[in-house]
Amino acid sequence: MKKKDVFISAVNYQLPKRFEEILLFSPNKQKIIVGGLDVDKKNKYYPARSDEKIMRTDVIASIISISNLLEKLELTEEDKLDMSLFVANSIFIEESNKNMKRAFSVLNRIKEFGTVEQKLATIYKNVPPLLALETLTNATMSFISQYTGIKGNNTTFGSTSHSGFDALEEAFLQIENNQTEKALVGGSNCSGIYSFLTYQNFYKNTDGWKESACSSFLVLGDSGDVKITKIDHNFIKLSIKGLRKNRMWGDFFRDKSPEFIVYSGGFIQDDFVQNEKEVKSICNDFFSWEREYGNLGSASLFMGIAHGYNLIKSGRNKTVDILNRDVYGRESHIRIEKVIR
Amino acid sequence: MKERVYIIDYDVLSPIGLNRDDLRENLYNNVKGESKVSNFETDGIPFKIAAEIKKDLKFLYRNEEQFIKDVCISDRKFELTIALANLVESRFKNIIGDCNPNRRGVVMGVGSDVIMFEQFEKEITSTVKDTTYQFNDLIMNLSSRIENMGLMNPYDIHAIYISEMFDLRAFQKSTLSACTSSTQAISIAFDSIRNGKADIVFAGGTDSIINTMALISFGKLGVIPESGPHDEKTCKPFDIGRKGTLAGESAGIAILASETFIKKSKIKPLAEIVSIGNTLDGYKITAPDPSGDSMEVAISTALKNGKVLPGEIDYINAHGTGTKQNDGVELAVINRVFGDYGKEVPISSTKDRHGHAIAAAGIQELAVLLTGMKNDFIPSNMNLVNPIDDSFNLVRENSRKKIKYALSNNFAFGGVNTVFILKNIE
Repeated sequence: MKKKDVFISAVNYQLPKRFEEILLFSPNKQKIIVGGLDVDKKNKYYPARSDEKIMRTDVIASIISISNLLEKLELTEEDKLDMSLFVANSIFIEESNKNMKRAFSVLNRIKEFGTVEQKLATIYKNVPPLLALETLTNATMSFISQYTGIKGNNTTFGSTSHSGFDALEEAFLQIENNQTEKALVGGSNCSGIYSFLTYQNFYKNTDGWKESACSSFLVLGDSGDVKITKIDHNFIKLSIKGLRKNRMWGDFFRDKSPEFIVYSGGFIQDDFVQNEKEVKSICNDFFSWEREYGNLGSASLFMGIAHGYNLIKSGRNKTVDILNRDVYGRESHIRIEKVIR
Repeated sequence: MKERVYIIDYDVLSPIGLNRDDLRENLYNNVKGESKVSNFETDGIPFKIAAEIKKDLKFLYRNEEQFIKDVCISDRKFELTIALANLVESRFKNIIGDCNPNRRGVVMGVGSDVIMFEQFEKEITSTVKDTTYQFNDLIMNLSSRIENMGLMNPYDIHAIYISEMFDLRAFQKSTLSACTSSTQAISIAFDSIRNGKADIVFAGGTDSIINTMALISFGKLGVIPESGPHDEKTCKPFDIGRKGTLAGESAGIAILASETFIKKSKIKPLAEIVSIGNTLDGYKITAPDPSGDSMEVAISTALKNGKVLPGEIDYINAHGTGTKQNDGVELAVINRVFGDYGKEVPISSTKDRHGHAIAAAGIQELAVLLTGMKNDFIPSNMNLVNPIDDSFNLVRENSRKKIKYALSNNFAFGGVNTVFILKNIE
C-alpha cells in the first residue's frame, strides 16, 4: 500500500507565566529556576474535583489545552474512537507544599519511634489511598482518553526530551503506513525539584539550571496545509555514564540549507549559549524557547513544532526545521513545510 | 509489502526461574514464587506476601563497574535489568551477529520509581527537618555518592544500558504504561520492524513492586490483598474468592527480528508475532471500564489484523490479576469475542505462580507463553478452586497440547488494553 503524507492539522500549548527561584543548600548552594503552569479553574474543560485531586498541574493543563484543540477541529465521537494517542512524559511527582508537608510531618514523627512496626504503621496510616494513581506513569494519557474519548492505539514514552521524538515518530509512522487516519501526539512536562534531582546527575556542580512545566500537543492527519517532510535522528553509540558532548545538528542539513530553525535541548546557561552558537553556524534565522523558559523536557520538540507551524501559517516562512538534543546526546530533526497547491 | 516479525530468542528473570530453562522446569513442577517478604521488614503494614526473586543476583553482574553496582543497591528495577543483560550478553551478541547497529534498536517497559525507604530510613529520618528543601538536599546528598548517576535517574537508563551493551543505535525507547508497559514495548518493536525502521529490536521490561512504599500504595488501592495469618494462596485468578493480586518483580527481553534478517542469517525463529491490538478505555483512571468495550476492540482488532479466526486460537494467556475488577470483565469479553468457542478455548493466568510484575508483566508472560508453545504445554490456574463461571475452560491441571496460535492479554491501570497474537513456528 502506498505511503501517505503526514500533515499537522492543529497545535495548542500552555507555557508558564510565573517562575520560582529555588536555592538548594547542598552540595554547592545551587540556585535553580522553575517555571510553573497556571490553570484556569473556571475553564469549561477543567476536570472534575474527584480527578483533580490526583492530577498534576501539567496534566490539567493538557486536558484543557487538548479539549480546546479538538473542539476547534470539530471531530466526531467516532473520529476519536479510532484516533491514536502518543504521549511523551518525564517526571510523575509534582512538588507541592501540601505533599512535602505531609511527608515531612510523617518522617519527623517516625523518628520518635523505636520499633519498625510503629514506624511502618505510621507511614501506612499516612500514605494517601490514591498515591499509586497520583504517580501513575500513564496518567496523562489515560486522563486525556477519559476527558476526550480518544480510544485508539496508544503509548506513553519517557523520559528525556527525546521521548517527544519517539512519540512523534510513532504517530507519523502510523499515519504514513495507513494504520490510522488521525493521531493526537504531544508532551506534558512536569518541572520542579524532582525533575532537577533526576537531571542534575548529568550536570553535577554546574550552575544556571532552568526548566519549565509545559503542555504541548499536535493533531496529525493525512491532509492539511503544513506537511511534515522530514523526521530524522542521529545514530550514535550511547553511554549510560551521561551527557555526550556531541554537537552534530549541522549533519541534518547536508541535503538542504535551512530557512529557519527552532531548537531545544539545554538545561543550564552554558547549554543555552552553546546551542545558540551552534545554530548560528548553520543558519542566521532561528528561535528557541529555552532562553526564556529553560528546558521544556518532553514537551520541547512539540513546542518547537508549534512555533514553526505558527510561522508557516502566518506566512512568514515556507519551511521550518526543528532540532532537539537530549542529555544522552540523542539529536532529532523535524522539517515542516507549507503545502503549495 | 510489510515485514513479518519473529521472535528469535528471549530470556527472563522471574520469581519462578532465573532463566528460561529454570522457568520451564518450575512451570512443569508447579513451583510457586509466593512467600513472606524476606528482603525487608513488613511489621506494621498488612501486606506481607509477595513473589520475590530470592536469589542474590550480584553473581550475574560481578564484573560490572562499581558505579553500576552502587546504583543496583538503591534501584531494584535497574539491578534486574543489569542482571538480565549480563545473563544473556554472550548468547544475544552471537545471535545479532553483524547486523548493522543502525538497524537494531531497543524498547523497554519500565515501572514507576520509588524511593527505597527501607534502605535509607536512617539517613532520611536523621536528616529531615521541617523545611522543604532539606528533603531535596538529602536526596542530592545520597545521589552524589554515586559517580555518574544518582538515586533518581531518567527512566531511559534501562534502554540506554542495553543499547550500550549490544550497540543498538536505531532507537532506544522507554514505554511507561503501567501493567502494559512491556507488552507495549513489544508492540512498538513490532511496528518498528513492520514499518522498516529496524531489522532487530530488543523488546522487554523491568519492574519490582516489592518495597515498602509500593506495597502500601498498591495495597491501599485495593490491588494487593491484606495478608492473613496463614495465607499461602494470595492470588486466585478467576476464582470467586479472589481478593487481589500477588506483588511481583521481573525483567525480561525478547529479540524480535524481521523476515529479511532471519532469512539472511539463517536463524530458525521460535514464533511469529502475528498482530497487536491496543486501545484505551476512556473511562476512569481509578477503575477499568466494567463494560469491557475497549478490551473487546483490542482483542477483535488483533484477530482481524492477524487474519486469525477466533476458533484458531489454541490458548489464551490471560491477564487474570486475581482482582475483583479485572477477571470477570476479561471473561465476559472473551465470551463476546469468541462466542461459543470462548467456552472451549483453554484459558489460564500464571500470576498466581510468579505474581504481577506490573511493567514487566507482559514480557514475563510472553516467556511463559513461549515456554508453553515450544513444549506443547499449557500451565494451569494453580489456585483456582471455585471459578467465577464454570462454563469456561479455565485450566485446572497442567496439560499437554499443541499450540499453533495463542492470544496474550495485558491490561493496565488507567484503562490501557494491549494484546498480541503469537504463532508457533514448528
